[in-house]
Amino acid sequence: MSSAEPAGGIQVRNLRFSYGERPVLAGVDLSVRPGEIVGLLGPNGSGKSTLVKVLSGVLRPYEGSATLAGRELKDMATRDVARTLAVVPQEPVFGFSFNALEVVLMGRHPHLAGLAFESESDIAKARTALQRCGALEFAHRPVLELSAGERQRVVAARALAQEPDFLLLDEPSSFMDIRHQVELYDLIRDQSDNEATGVMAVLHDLNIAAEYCDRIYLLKEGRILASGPTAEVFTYANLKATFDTDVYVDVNALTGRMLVVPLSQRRKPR
Amino acid sequence: MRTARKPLTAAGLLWGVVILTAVLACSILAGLSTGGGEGGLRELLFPAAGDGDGTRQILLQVRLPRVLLAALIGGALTVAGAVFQALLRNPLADPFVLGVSGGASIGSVLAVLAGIGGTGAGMAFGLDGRMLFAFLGALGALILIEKIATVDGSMSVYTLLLTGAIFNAFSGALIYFLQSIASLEQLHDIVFSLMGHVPSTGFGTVAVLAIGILAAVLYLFLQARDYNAMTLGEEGATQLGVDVERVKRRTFVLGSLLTGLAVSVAGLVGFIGLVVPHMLRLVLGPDHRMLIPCSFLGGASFLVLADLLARTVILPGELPVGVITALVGGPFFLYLLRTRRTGHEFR
Amino acid sequence: MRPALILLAILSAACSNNLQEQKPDPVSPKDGLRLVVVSPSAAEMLAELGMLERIVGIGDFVSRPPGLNRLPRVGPYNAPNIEKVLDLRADILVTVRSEAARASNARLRDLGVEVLELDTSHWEGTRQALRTLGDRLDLGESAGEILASLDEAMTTIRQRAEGSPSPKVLFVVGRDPLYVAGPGSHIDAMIQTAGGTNIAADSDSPYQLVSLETMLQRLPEVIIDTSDNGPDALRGRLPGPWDTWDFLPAVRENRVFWIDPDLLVIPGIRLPAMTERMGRLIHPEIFGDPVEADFEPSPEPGPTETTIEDSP
Repeated sequence: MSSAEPAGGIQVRNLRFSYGERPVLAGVDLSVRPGEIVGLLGPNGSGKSTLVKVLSGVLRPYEGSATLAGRELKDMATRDVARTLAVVPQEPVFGFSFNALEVVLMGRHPHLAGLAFESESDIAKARTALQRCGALEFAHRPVLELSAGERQRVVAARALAQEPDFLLLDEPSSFMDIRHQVELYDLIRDQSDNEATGVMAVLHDLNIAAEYCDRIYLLKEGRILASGPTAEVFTYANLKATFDTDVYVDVNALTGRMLVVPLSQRRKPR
Repeated sequence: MRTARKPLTAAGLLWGVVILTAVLACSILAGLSTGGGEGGLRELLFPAAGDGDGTRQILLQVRLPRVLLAALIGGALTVAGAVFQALLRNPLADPFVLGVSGGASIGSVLAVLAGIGGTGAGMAFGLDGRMLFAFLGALGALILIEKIATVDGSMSVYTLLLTGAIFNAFSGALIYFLQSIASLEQLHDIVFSLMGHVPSTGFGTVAVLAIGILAAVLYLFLQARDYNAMTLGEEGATQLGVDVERVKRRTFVLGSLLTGLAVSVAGLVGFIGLVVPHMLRLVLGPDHRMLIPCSFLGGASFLVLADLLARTVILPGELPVGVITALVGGPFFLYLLRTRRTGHEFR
Repeated sequence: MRPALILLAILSAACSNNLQEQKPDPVSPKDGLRLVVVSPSAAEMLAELGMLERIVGIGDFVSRPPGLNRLPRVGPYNAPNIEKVLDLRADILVTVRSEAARASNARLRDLGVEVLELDTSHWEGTRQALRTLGDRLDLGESAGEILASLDEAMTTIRQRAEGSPSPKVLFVVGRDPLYVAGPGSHIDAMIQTAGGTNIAADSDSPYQLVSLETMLQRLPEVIIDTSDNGPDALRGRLPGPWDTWDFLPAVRENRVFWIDPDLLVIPGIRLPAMTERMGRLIHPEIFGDPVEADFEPSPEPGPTETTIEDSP
């Protein structure tokens, strides 16, 4: 699997990162190819969000290697990273009375020079992104007045407006209802299929992962426990080892994809 | 339903700047039109032959530099407020409220004590040691306050306000201490240097301040788009390609420079950096490409008018202009604190 | 809780001891009164009354007569150090009337120290202060004599100045920002007595931040500037920074005077001498030209210091 990778994707080799003395990523190998959705799953504190931050240039320095489309992340300016890769964060932060359209326009930031103003085409891109995320109706409302789910859609639109080669999603659907979750992931799937965007999604919901991801990485204590196509990775043993929780794993009769149901600890193990 | 605000364009910025420049021009004309001397605009524009009673000279050498200084100081403090607010994502971050002015005042007092910041005989000199010391004091305070108020990488508004308040109390106490070891004549200098008073200096000082302040404002303006991105948090801004550390460093240094220059010349003029940017955001929107230049122009107008009041309401006496800005700004601060608490701006 | 209570008990016992010892009668001047003086003007008056030997401590701002400088200091008049005053076993604290010192003065009274508060900020108060001191120290007669001669000196100055034109005087306490002596200050009274017109007489308070523009526009004929007092301060008859305003009669006619504030600003028994000095600045044709001693205090013999040398 490793040697045949095209140079265009995200390649992570033996990546290590620690907060001071505490190692969080202890040698991670991972890849994301253009046009595929890769799920990153693991218990709380396993290092998923840290990996997102390292790959988006927020946390430096790291040891090991991480390349974006063939370029080593270390050697890239913050701005170059932002032109290549966009992030939909878990808990987006806002300030002042910027409206949704203005926030999405900020996605054009890495593509503009100096004090430049957004052009008509930038604005058109922002509006398209808002529309694709179902957020056009509140384009002119201050983001701080929107609900958490609405804000999440604005942030997704901003990431699309950034026109990245790669999208990193950090549990983007935490505050969304099912309908909006499905709409968001359908959109991501479209983006991946049509624009060949490589997506790495940190997910909590195993069934969403099963429905949308091409491949899965299971992360625990800063190490990859298992990786591969969803059907191969989603086994009782792998999931039990990763989450220390009993699950029932089956195949969804309707879709043919995996189905995972968590089981109460109070239930006697079989 | 509010009217939809269009994204900012170059033309929009130009309009905003033109209108606020006109406001500033009117404020300066108003400031020049009256005062303790007898002269007004007529004497300024149509000089009579001869100037036996000095009316025109008073206008040109007392009122004019003072009005210009008020404009520069007002602009400097307001822009400092605007960029601190952008950095901390908090509309309450005024140099005075944060304690940065307090740090600058410690520097200024130390310079007086060291004998390098005289109001002594050097009335005509443009530069004095107080400027440098006040700048260093402001920068030191800002770094300290940021370090203390940051808990687990994020800054809560209440920690920040509390840190600022405590730092202000601390610097107040330190200044009392410095006063009590100062000689009687130094005491006089110290008390007046902190009073919040726009002096009437020579044009040398006006020129030095103009160069320093305009350069700093321009430099801050050049990273205006970065401030927009900074409202998404440091992480969010980094992911949009902003070199956050560099923006922060420049803001700290230049914001402290603006505060230090203002405090070294005019003492403690509070709250102006709080009131003006907030008003401008309500009218012009939050985009910093608009906000920074307009804060300079708006803050300049505000202090020119406040100083006009300060120097005319109790003639032949004068009020310290800090009294007027505090009377306006104090209640405004409380209003902001009250109405904005429910928003998410303070997270 | 308990240690605090015990401490309180000890303290209050100490207080009542003090009260019993000191309260019954004011100490008679004959019994070797011990005086602590924090009012600069009062120190000069006491010297004039011949009571220098009775002074056992002085306030921070007291500098005259120079012989006093060797005495222990008890802090400024607005915040005297109560412990030091008690330590000096003072019978009387002679101080300036001050709102800031009210609590500490009351405390000193509770602890058995008599507190004489004098208001020497103006001429009438100064006269009253001299009378108060004379009465309290059984020196009413000599106080009366001093007073009479002072009054006479003042009257003489007033009479000499009367009838001549009254030049416009700007008296500068602080220059940047401009801070001047207004109505109700002893300086304003001195200017009038010496035959001048204080151009800040219409301001609101004895000492006032004023508009530079207004003061310039009023075209002062005499400027007396006491604002410069660091090392290398300007002294004497020269325009200094005021020469920017060459349209001012005071500048054109070379009547800007830079003076040590000690020679004009500190009120008290030297008022007649100070007023006459003011007269020389305002009306040299009547009082004579100012002399060098009018600008700077003549070098006084400092407190004799004995150098202790290491002897084998």
